[in-house]
Amino acid sequence: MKTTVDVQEIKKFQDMAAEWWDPTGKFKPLHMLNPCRLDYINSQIAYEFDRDLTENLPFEGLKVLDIGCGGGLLSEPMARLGAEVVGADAAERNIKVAKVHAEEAALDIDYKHTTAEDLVSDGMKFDVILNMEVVEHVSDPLTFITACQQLLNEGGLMVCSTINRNPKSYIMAIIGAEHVMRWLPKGTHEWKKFIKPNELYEYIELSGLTPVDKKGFVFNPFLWSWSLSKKDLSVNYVTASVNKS
Amino acid sequence: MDNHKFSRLHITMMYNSDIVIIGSGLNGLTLSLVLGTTGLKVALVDGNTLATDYLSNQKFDGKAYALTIASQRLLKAVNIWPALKKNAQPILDIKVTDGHPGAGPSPFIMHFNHNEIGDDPIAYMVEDRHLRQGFNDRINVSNNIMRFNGNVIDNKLENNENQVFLENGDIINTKVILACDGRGSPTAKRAGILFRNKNYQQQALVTALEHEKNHNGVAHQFFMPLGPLAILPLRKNNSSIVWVLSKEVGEQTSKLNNNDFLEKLRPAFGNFLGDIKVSGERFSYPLNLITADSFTGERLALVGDAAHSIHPLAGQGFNQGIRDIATIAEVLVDAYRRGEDIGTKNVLNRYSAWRRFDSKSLSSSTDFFNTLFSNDNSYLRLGRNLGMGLINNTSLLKQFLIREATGLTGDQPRLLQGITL
Repeated sequence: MKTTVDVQEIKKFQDMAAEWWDPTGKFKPLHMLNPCRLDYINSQIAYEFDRDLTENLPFEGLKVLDIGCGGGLLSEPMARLGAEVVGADAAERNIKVAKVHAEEAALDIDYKHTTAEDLVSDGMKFDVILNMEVVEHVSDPLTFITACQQLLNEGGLMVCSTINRNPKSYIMAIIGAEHVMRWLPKGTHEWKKFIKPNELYEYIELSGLTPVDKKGFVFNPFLWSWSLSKKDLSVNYVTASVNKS
Repeated sequence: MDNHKFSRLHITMMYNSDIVIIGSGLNGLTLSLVLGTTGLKVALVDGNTLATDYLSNQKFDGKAYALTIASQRLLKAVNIWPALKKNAQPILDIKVTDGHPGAGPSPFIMHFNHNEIGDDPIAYMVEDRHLRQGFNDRINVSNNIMRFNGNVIDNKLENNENQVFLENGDIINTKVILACDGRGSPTAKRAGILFRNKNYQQQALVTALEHEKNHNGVAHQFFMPLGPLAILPLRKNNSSIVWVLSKEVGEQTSKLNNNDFLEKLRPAFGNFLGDIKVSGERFSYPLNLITADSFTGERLALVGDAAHSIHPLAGQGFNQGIRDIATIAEVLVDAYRRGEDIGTKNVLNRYSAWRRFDSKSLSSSTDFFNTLFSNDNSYLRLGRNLGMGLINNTSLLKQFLIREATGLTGDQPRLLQGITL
């Protein structure tokens, strides 16, 4: 099986998987970031597919792939909003945790222990791919994003977020989040695998997708919450790209 | 015997609802209406039949609330304000006076005119009966609100839901319970939430008066040594009064018949509105500040008096409840539309974080004002007379106080800005 998955990275997340759904536990930063990520994802989907977010089940009829779904922090909201969701993760324990949790929540989500490359081999197609906080963990981002492009229907949307690579992101994401705040276990991130926005745009374009938007996720230590920023992409950021025919 | 057994048979029904609101007092009614307009499914539960089968054309009982501009905006956003405004009395001015015993009002008068903040009245006095009638009329025709007549006997967490057990055996499965069951909330008690209680050793006497002269839309706050007296204009020649007295004096006064009560009131009230008589029911209750240690529990949030109740000095009780309602409604509706599970700690913590600071600041500032003004200490008196004079001449501070009184300070939820969810 041809794969871009980094074996050591999988092991790291397997150790953490049971804690996925504890908002005060090891994945606290993701839980804190989640409303902001969802606001971005939802508004991009609503725009591309002309959906009204104030209606019930606005994403009905859309096929969504949550690649690197972890415990299902994004898969579950997508399912609640009416989408037909496949959650894929290369770590088997994540899939087990996600399945148990979705069952408790009475949500119908197709969780698969698989990779983007294998989904391509299976001939799967989606309207939306959520590729969130994953590219900085794979061994070959371009091959990975190219697989995502192959999984998208024509007119499909990929939302992709990662962490910028600069001195500030080293201080914030590695020293701050892992060493000072201990939000994440030490070694969660490797700084050299972080990706600059222009590099990500290049990967996206090389894959055949067209980037249409980028925003920063900015943490405000006074309000203790995250918000979207048009200008500040210095640490966490997100992009939207479409698969034009 | 068999017949008897048969009559006891009840088929237990199981219901599902996004939200269960316990208590259909003013807060529960308002919250139901607000959430019912957003597409969320609401179950409104109350064991009090009077609350569920509210009779139309209730007669005047004098119970009324001063609704701030912020509160009006929420009522406008859910399109119920036009119906309420028809029966509401605008407050155009607030006059604050400090009184000496037997010497009448002090010359230092603080005067708030609505023109200082804009064209709208500072607040509107709306009667309790009109509010209940208005809300019930709307709720009873809503497709998203289902009413249950019965007491809640228990609730239990089950998977990702909270199960609400009614006394008739029916069960409602819900994502989150919103407790609007008032002071001493049984729901909060069941959840083990503790309360802080500060007793003021004071009694509030509330009634409505009819007076000879018209009030011209002016509200008065007399700070008397016995305690503060608030006079709030109602429609026609009526005013609602809140008279705060020491525990002993208040309890004695509450037992007096109407004539003796008026004899006692007249020296404090003065004769600026001519002759007065009692036109509403008389209510009397002890003043204490009760605040929940936590505004949330497992798949549970406390709203309004269930979370915090302050004494009525500033007339802010229902306005505070409306701030809770605007906040919890925005948090829940946004989370729901985002696809989040609306009953999780993650979501409910946004409500408590947003509300905690606000309710603390209002409770403690009202507390501070009451302590300052109901004390007949000459140094304090001199200080506050000078203070009032200063406030009157310091437009920035005065504008802040008037904005506080109109509910326009703080980080505003969308509904308090008049924006529909």
